[in-house]
Amino acid sequence: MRMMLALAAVALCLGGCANGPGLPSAETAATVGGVIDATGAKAPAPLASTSIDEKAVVLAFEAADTVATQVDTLVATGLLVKGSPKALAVKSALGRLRSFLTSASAAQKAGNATTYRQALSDAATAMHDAATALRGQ
Amino acid sequence: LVDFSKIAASVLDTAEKFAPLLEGTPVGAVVLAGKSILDLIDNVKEVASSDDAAALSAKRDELEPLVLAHIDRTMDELG
Repeated sequence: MRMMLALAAVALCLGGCANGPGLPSAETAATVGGVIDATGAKAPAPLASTSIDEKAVVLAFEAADTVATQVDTLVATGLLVKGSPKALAVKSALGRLRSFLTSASAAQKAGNATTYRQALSDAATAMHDAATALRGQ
Repeated sequence: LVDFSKIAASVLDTAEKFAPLLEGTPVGAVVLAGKSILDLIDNVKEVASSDDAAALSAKRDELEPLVLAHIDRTMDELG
């Protein structure tokens, strides 16, 4: 279980970290910035904070699906009992995870980098909360 | 990690052949759980190395409703 959640966190970080593979390099941003300057157009915001693609949110959805599958397994094997305090705590964390994933996806579509990163960070926290709930802490 | 993944994938491939017999059982659930972790490893590699924005966008549009529905089902099972 811990391994799975660690992977989920890695999946989130891979696309969501500032220097992760999901984001263009500083050189690319500088080149694009130079082209924009040459045309006289004004960038609506610093390029570094608007360069968001779908990698992080796709990985976040993949990770969340895996988390849900692991929880399904714990329920199916009887290790997590429906209605128990632990199950309800996990349910609460999953509810928050769902909400943050929806927010991250909407923010990515709208190009709102700040909301996007915050929602992904919150989603990662919700996954950790689910892990903590499963450990009964 | 790669070697482990290959070994585990091989074991799970074998286990999947018995999937009809395991369906709905705790053992079947464990097999599915193991496979989902291996799938996640593969997906992380695939997505991280992808530069096809259109494909990523399509993948997101496909994943989003499925994953949200899965989370809803899981939450229903928790109480």
